[in-house]
Amino acid sequence: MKFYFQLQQTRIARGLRSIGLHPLLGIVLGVIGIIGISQLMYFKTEYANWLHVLFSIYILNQFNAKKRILFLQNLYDHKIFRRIRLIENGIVAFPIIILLMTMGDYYFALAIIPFIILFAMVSTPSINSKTLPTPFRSNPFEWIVGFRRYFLLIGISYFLLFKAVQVHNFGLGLFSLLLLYVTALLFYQSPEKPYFVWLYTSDIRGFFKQKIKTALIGMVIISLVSFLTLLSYFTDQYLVITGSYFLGILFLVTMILAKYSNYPHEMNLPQGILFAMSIGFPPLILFALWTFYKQSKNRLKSYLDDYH
Amino acid sequence: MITINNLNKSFGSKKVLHYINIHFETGKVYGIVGQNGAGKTTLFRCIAGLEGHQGEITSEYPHLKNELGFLETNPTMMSLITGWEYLKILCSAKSIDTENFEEQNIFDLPLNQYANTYSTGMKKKLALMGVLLRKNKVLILDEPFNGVDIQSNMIILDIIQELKKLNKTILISSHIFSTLRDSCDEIILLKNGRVEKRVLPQHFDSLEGEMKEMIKKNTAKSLTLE
Repeated sequence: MKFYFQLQQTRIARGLRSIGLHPLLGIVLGVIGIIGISQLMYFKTEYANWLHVLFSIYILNQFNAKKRILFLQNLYDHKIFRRIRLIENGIVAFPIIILLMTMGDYYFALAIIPFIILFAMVSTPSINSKTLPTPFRSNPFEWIVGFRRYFLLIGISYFLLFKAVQVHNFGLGLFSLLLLYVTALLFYQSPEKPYFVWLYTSDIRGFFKQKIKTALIGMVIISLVSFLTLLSYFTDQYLVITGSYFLGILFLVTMILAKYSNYPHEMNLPQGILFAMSIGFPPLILFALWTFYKQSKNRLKSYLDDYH
Repeated sequence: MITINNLNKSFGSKKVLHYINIHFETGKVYGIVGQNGAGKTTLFRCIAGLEGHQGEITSEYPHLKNELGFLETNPTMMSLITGWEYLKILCSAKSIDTENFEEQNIFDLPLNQYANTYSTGMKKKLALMGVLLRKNKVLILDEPFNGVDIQSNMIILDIIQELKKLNKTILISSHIFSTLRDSCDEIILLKNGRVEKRVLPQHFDSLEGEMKEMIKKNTAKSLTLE
């Protein structure tokens, strides 16, 4: 069991090194990031405590993926397996519990504990084995996979939109729209295997055209209702809503280009910083778009343009 | 027609392919045989453009990649994608606008199930179906018979014959010699990354004998080591 956790530690360190980060720095940045996001949630919405609990359930469920569980069950006897699951669930949920407690949300923090035990004791009836219908079936593939992986976040966003309208809270409404964009960005976080790029018979421009077209169709499908609802309930804020909507689309396009900027690997640290900086300072986005396009072109040419 | 001139490929300091010179004629079926690590898959990946290399690969097509279907030994599947959606990815990447895959489901695959829950053989059949749907002129089939049941093996052999009639160029690797003997116009033996010999149908039997002998020797060697 000790070796298992040492191995996980090594894997995390390797993962961080592969994106150009020293493991210690990566952990420090991770902690700062988590605290920052948590504080942002508390600043933006009164439902931050609920969001923290939902997020912890989501993460615990990810750790309970069927393939993982089967692998662990094959390796360890029942007792050790349960102990490993309890410890890793505890490690995963611990930061969220601490964050909730520091904000005085003790009951919400306590509410997570039964889930730690539940997910360690019961194997989730895997979503992976049942086909989840998706409206993006004909537009492969990021939106199909992304929708199936993150449909809970989309559901949460619609719930927040409903709440925003109910209590007439524009900030919450805008947050729900932003959550949809963040969800869509997650669809593009990992690059696909080279075979699925190699398959394209178009050149790099055509490839990106198709990717962006698919993204825009997908984005309109998931966000149009939120956009129109916000416009009709918060009419006086139409400029902010429309501006955020189109800025979100611009970020999505940037993310698509960024995804391939270090292909076949994930974005490296400088690229990640550039993307994060353009979110913090939107005028930078044009520079980010240009940079990522140039880098992606360079990275993709051996798969799409150059070959015999 | 595909011509390979002085193809070299290394992974770090390990040289995997040494000065490969081969010529594949249009409409013919070529078998590539050799022991594990002989360089078959690397050769295929170089031809497909999935691996960088030294040397030249030319063809009669302006862009060979766009005319080429590649069935990998272990087909790459994505998680949370159904068989139907996998086929859709392959078709839409070549701008083939079709969604009626059930009619062409020759292997009776459960297309509405997630493809990564398929068995090894089913994944291979799905990938082969995808390759066929893209209607390419050149097909590279890396171990198409591996992990597939006997009935499907026979279907695959039939498919190869049909493709040959359609003047497609096919490159197959297989460890099951009989499948190659029944379908190939020529068999190329790779050994340690080099073309050891090219064999025409009248000599297939002697090649099979040679390969059996080689396997026997290796088995004897490994038993002695123990």
